[in-house]
Amino acid sequence: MSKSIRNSIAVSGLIMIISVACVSSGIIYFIVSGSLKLSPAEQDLLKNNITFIILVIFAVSGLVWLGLTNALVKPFIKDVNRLSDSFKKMVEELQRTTVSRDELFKEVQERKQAQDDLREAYSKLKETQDQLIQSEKMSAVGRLASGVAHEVKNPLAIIMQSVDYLSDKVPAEYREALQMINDNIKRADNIVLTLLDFAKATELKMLPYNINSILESSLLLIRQGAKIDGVTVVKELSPDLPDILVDKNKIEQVFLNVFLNAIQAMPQGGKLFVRTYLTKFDIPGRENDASLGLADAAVAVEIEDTGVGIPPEYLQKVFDPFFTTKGPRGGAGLGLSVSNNIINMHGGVIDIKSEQGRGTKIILTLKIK
Amino acid sequence: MEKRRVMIIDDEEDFLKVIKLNLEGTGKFEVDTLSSAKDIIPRMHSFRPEVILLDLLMPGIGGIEACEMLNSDPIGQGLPIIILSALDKETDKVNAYKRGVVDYLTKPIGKDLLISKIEKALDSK
Repeated sequence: MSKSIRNSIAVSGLIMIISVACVSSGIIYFIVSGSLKLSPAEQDLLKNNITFIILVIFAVSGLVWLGLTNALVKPFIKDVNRLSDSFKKMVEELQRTTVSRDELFKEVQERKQAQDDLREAYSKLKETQDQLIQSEKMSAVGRLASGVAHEVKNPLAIIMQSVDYLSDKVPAEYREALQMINDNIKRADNIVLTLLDFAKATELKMLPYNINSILESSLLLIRQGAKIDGVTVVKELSPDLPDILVDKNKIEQVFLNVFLNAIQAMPQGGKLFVRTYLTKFDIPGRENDASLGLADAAVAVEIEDTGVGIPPEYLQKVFDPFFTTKGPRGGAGLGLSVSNNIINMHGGVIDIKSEQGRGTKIILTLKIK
Repeated sequence: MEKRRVMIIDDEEDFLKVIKLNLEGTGKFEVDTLSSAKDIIPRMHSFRPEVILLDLLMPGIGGIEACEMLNSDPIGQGLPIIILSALDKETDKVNAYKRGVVDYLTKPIGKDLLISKIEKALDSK
């Protein structure tokens, strides 16, 4: 490349010298011949001499030019070469940068994918771990409940038999007291039985079921009671629900608990709405917890009554074991606690909304897996 | 009327006492009680029960093992056994029925219901 530059400069220089020489020789010839008024022979001689001189000048100028070109352009060419090399290096560097940028982009993508995979794996691990902890916790509660149940049922059996023995022996006025003892033995036994539900909740038999069909069979069981209490059941069940893995008996138990609570909350009668629909799994206030599998497809069951409602100060406690607003004869206060446990064991959630004087809505959400 | 012989095996001494009182109080039953199943076979020879009420969870020999002992001895074979236990699990019930028991009752149980179950078991003999 440097040689061609040098040649171009030399050739253009020579053309310029020839042009200047031709123009100068013509000018000289016209000036001299005009001013001296020469004869044609003299003019020919002058022309030949000028031509000779011009040729000599041309030769000398050419040589000088070539020499100058060589001397002057050489350092410039060196600079050009250096620039060219630098440019070449820059281009190569740029190419390398482009390549490494592509690689970097690819690596970033791969890392992002790996990070996503890791996050998903962690989320699943956390979910499994939570289920395992919950399962272990409930298993421990279950073992405790079984032990307590056995230890309580034996003395209850002795008391019951003793009351039966005494009822034939004591005067009639004492029989009412004995009856009270008997009633409370049954009440204590019911509490023990409900406690045992904790133990049973740890053993889920999961099979695919349509949640609507479980609701229908549960509603059949309360139909008569609802009718007697003046409660109308309004069903709004989505026909598009897929089957989900559940323990049918346990879920039925949850529905019955909630239905019975709803009916008891409407002593003057009312409406019991039962709705199902497809939704996204959601836990209010825990939107950022990736381990919960939020936004997974889920089935929601809403059970709403038009009853007395629950005071706000009690709402946080309704899932606590032995919490009841129904008084000593209303129940052990384990229904919603057991229900909550069962739904949690299924990986679902229960939410409750209530307004005093307007009614209560229980929303059960179960993931479609 | 001849009294029907009932043997009750349970590790709860108070329960044995009160059941004996209740059953014998009807005048229909003669009751023998045992607080452990280990002496069940020798006692069978002396008392000759027509029905047995058996607890499941007992120290030493449990109710299921006692059932097997009775089933494997000629004196116990074909004898109606009623389980009377505080255990309420389905698996316990299945295990008991597999050993040929005629009924499974859970504690606590009232006197009248218990008597009707015993009479039913005696009738099925």
